[in-house]
Amino acid sequence: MRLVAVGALLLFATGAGAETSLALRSVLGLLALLALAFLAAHPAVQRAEELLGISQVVAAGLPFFVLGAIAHLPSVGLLTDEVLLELGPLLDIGLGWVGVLAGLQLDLRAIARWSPLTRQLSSVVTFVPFVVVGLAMGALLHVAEIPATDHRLVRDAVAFGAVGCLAAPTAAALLSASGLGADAVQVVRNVARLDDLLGVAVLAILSAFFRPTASVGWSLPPIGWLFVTLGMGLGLGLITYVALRAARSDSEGIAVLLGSVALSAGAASVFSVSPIVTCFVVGFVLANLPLPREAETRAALTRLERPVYLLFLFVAGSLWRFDLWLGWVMLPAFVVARLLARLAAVRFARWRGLLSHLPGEERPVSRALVSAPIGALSIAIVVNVQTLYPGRAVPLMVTAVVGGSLFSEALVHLLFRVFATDARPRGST
Amino acid sequence: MSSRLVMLALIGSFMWAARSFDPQTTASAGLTLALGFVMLASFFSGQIAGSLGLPKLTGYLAIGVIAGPGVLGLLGTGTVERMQLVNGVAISLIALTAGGELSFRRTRPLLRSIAWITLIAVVGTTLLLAGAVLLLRPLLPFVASLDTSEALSAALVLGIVLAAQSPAVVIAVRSELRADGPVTRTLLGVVVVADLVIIVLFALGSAVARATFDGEADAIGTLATLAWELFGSMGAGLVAGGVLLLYLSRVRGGASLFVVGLCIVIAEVGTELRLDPLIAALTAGVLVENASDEGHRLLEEIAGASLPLYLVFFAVAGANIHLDTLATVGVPAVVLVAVRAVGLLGGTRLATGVAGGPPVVGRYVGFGLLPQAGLAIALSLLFARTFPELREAAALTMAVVAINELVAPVFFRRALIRSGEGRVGDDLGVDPTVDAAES
Repeated sequence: MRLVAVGALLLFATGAGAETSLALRSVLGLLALLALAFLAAHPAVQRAEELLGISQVVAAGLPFFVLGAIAHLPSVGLLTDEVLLELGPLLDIGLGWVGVLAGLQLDLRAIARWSPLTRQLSSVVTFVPFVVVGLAMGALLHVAEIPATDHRLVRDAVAFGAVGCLAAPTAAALLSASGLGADAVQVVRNVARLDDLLGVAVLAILSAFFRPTASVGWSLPPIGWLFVTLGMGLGLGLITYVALRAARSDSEGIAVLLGSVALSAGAASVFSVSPIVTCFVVGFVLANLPLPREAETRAALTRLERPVYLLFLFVAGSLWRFDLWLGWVMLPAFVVARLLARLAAVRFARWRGLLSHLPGEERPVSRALVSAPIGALSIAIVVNVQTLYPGRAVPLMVTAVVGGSLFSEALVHLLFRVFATDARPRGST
Repeated sequence: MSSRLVMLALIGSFMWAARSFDPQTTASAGLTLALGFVMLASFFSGQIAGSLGLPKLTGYLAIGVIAGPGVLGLLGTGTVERMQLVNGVAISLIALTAGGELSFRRTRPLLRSIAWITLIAVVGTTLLLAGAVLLLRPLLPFVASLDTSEALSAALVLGIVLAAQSPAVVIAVRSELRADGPVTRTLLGVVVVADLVIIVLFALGSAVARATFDGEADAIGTLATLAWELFGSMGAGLVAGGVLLLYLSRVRGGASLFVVGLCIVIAEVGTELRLDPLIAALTAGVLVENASDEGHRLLEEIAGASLPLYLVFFAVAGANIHLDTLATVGVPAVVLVAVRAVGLLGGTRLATGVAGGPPVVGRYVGFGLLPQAGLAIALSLLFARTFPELREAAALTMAVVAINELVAPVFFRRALIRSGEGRVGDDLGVDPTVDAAES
């Protein structure tokens, strides 16, 4: 019944046509979004997602993506380029929010406890897909349309590599659910964490070395912009830390967090650097200082994570161009390159004995590492690339990321079902 | 306190440095930066105000004044205008809170007092202010040049504008002090009813005044517009309240986000369809509180989401204060502030006596009617748009609002504490929204 209502709203919005006032169409769009939010939060829908094994926000938020695509249709005209520009602050804050959350995962004390084998394994499984996906996508872009002399080729290939190297912790959760040892689960989780770090580092370098053409203001060398980004994040991280210490209740904490994210993300946008990176550094500072009310702060940040991603999917939907043939060519290439790269990386790691500290659990861990779905941060990186370098590469990236996410999500569940017996702890029946 | 001042200086310096990069920026990046600055700086200035025994919102307002276009210019005029978007959402959220607080069962014993205070104190003060404007004609050149009937009608509309109250300030200070009791409940009822009365009076008064100036009147058109604004808004509010009830009763998680989303819809729909978001959100809140058991949960959900909006709302209100107008219209403004205070305080005492209400209500409720903010500013701007020939009057109304906005919350806070309903001490540190859910 509720789905019918949402469908009716969308149909009404579509049928409203271009002659209908922008105001009315905006209202219809808002109402449709609200209805979708209602649906997404409904316990019955969440039960259905669990039943279907949908764990990734990209897969679960597909209706938002479709809604964004419909909203962008010329006959609907809800999410036009002007509206996207108006949504700028919301996107900046969302990107910053995701960045802080990612930074909060990077506790140096925890990383110091990683065994040397885990560090090497994480590095291999993270870097190989980045390089392979970047090269493959760069080659395709070059063959299809970008000459080798154009600096956009390197920029776009590196961005593709960044989204290709990201992995979601879904596989770790599935391993944990199947009863595998805590060490094995932690290894998979650590790899996903390092993936995020690499993705953010690549974004930092991209925004420092490939300055948006429209950027104005100070004239600094690329390395200078890198220092500005990191220094700004560090300074704002300390300010946020002091403010959070002064907060005396949950809602004051939320106000401080929101203010800090907006200030950091806004400053990053003013300087034309990545809000994700600046806020990642803020999160990193918070993760490594004794934070009062730490659990509440993390909970407050996590509470908004899913809605932020759903918003990004809505925006990504509007950036999608299903009529670009290159996107459909790049989608399988992206998926295959990523899968083969992860397979090669894990094979290399096993050959080098980097999984030898997990006797009897090497195969399920390897499978989890190879089949790990694309992480949700990838959709944030796509939105960030759109805000920094709007252009033709973005719709291609949207097709690759969303299509790749759906495929990898299906793959990981399939593999875990087929090889369920391997994942059971030794001795159990 | 010194550490908070240092933090304020740091945040201000950062904002200044960021703006120096591209001072002309009014684009989305500048808006995000400004929102972050306002939230963090207001948070610290609110704490400083609290430690000085002032309402936290005075600190929020002060940040707006100091960082706004009139003083340091860290928030440019364009940025402040774009931040008004938050105001619509904040007003809806505040109205939803006020509606959620208005339990018919608990308010019924106070209805007589509420009705009499609205009639005597609010409507009476409107007339008193109109009279004062007429008496001040020699000091007000824009009225002095009008003939008697025009001056009379202009004075009447100005009286209505100047009499407006601020539910936002009442809810913020009440929440900060965790106040509850007959004074607080009567006050909430009065500011809500008075808001509606002022909106109706302004629509009628400005139509009459316009007819006096133009020599022709469109009574049916005015009444139709007013009816649409009132009853259309109530209808929209009932629909919104129904949706909210459905969500609160069927879905457990993410309700605070849904409430904010609904407020965005109410604010945007209201603006586009010429409905009043305040009346719509108020109706929705009243429906949830009185037609279900979800009122308490609604306030809890609002509590989790409203503080950031309040910080921006009051800072923007502060940034809209034009202190420079005090230099030109300072004397008449101060006189009108005094007349308004006498009318509201005296009128409340008189009305409570007539209604047979508790003496404590008569003594303290009037102080809660003194603060002004969003509605008064909106009506001032509307007045300037409706009567371009009297646009200098906007300076006067803005000056009166500025004084009441900055000074009145201090007296109101003190009055709530003296009434015995406001708590002081450690509770001052608790954010102003947590408690809204607890009463």
